[in-house]
Amino acid sequence: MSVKPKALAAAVALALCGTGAQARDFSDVFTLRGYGTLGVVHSDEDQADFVSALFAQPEGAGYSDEWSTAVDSKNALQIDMTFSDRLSGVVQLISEGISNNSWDGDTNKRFFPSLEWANLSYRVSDDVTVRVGRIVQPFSMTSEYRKVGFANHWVRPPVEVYGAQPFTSSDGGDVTYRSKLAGGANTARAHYGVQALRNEVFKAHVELWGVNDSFEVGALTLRAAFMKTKFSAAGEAFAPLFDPFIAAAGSIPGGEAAAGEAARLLRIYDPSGDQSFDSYGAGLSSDPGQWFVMGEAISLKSSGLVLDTVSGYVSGGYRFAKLTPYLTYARTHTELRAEPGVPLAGLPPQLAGLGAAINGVVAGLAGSDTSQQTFSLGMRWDVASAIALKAQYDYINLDSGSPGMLTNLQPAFTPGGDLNVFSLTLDFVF
Amino acid sequence: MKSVVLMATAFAALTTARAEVVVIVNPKHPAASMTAEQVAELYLGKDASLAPLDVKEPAALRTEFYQKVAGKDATQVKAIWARLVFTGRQQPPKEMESAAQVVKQVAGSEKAIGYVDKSAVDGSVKAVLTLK
Repeated sequence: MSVKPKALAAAVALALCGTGAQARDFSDVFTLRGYGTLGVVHSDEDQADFVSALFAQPEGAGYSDEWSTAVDSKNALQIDMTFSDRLSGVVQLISEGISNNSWDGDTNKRFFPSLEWANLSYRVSDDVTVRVGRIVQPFSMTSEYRKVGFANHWVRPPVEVYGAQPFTSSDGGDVTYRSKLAGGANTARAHYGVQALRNEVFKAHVELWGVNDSFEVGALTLRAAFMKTKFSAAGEAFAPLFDPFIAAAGSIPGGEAAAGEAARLLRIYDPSGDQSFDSYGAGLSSDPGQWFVMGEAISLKSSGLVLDTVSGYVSGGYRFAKLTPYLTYARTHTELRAEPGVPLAGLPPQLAGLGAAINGVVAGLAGSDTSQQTFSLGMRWDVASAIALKAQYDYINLDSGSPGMLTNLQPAFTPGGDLNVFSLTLDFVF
Repeated sequence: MKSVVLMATAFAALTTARAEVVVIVNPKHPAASMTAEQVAELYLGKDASLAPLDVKEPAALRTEFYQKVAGKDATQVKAIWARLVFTGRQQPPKEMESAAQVVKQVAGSEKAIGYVDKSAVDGSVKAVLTLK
């Protein structure tokens, strides 16, 4: 049997529209759209990579490539389905330099299309909409459309706030409630979802839920958000190292303290254990027309592996017809922990060696600093009605002793110091 | 003769430039008039109670409409819609080929809202806002 895909799709759409509905034109139900970015990035730090997403982008500019096209380039295709006034669907495929969720359980190849959005949306009433399927996590102000270069004034959202969120989508759903409030429009949303993350940097089972609220009055938007993230990395990362030590130290006289401390550290730092962190965010933007300004502050709190972090940015620009120069300042600060580690005194030499190895691992995690700040200066040029060209210069200043948000650190890399990053992008929508 | 044609052309250009943009809805719509803010909310995706229609030609009318109703140029409007469209939230205004098509669509649908040059308005639709 052979059925033309177009005819089949039309038949499905017709069926979904219900028999009572008028026969609808194929083009009324399905719309194909897309967006993309062609970008090159140069970094003058050649012993580490500048990336846009710390836990998801395996290669970037600097060490891997002098001029990297992987940092910002992407292509996305979207099919919108309008089944009725109330029911609609969206499927968006994206191909980018981030190894996203794969189709088959293996690590996905970079630039291989992955599903960014795939959900059905049902408008219960004028105020309430429910979505079920794959949704992008909506924690920060521009999270959901951060990849649509054309929709944003900058080349990429500040990595200090956006680049450290490894879990960017989930399979589940959300409920949105819109209301008129004090002369403005309020949008409240709750979301829940799970994700099996399989990229080249990180593999984990993730559970996300959160609530957020946006209030718009005139040109002003205020936003507050909370999100709870639970994750556990695939495999047994720490057990092979910790378990033998805990068993051995616990069985010798005077070794109980060491065994107890090792067990405590395992509970806190084991990535394959039950990890969780809370994210709190607040945002503000004002866009009366000629000029615009926006800012966000986020705080991560955790008693596990993730270190407490405070980050934020302020960005603004002025529109001179087709040209929009802009400035951004962003900062992230990691709260390092002091972990004295397992007490080694009195342990037999072999066990003390194992204990020292544990202490090395824990010290590395408790001291994993991403603190840095970036001053950016850029220009957006609206070349045509759906094409924008952008150039951006970033001066990145790493905190003393911190590798910042750089990755692929080479032996010759020295933490601290600063670097210059230059980016050029062409954004389009269709 | 030539100068008369020239003058007529110039006059036509002048009147086009001074065109009044009229926002129209279906006669069954309860509102007698709307404010520019209300119309802007519909056209920028903040209010989904009516389905807005855009017009392809003349492009100048579209530019004038968005400038007058929201103080935004075409690119800004496109960027705003890109945020809603590529997050699967909302469909952008449908593009009509001509003013006549806008009037026809609005006359036929209680949920539609459009904008046309004043000269295109007839009895089949209700004018709720004039942008001068």
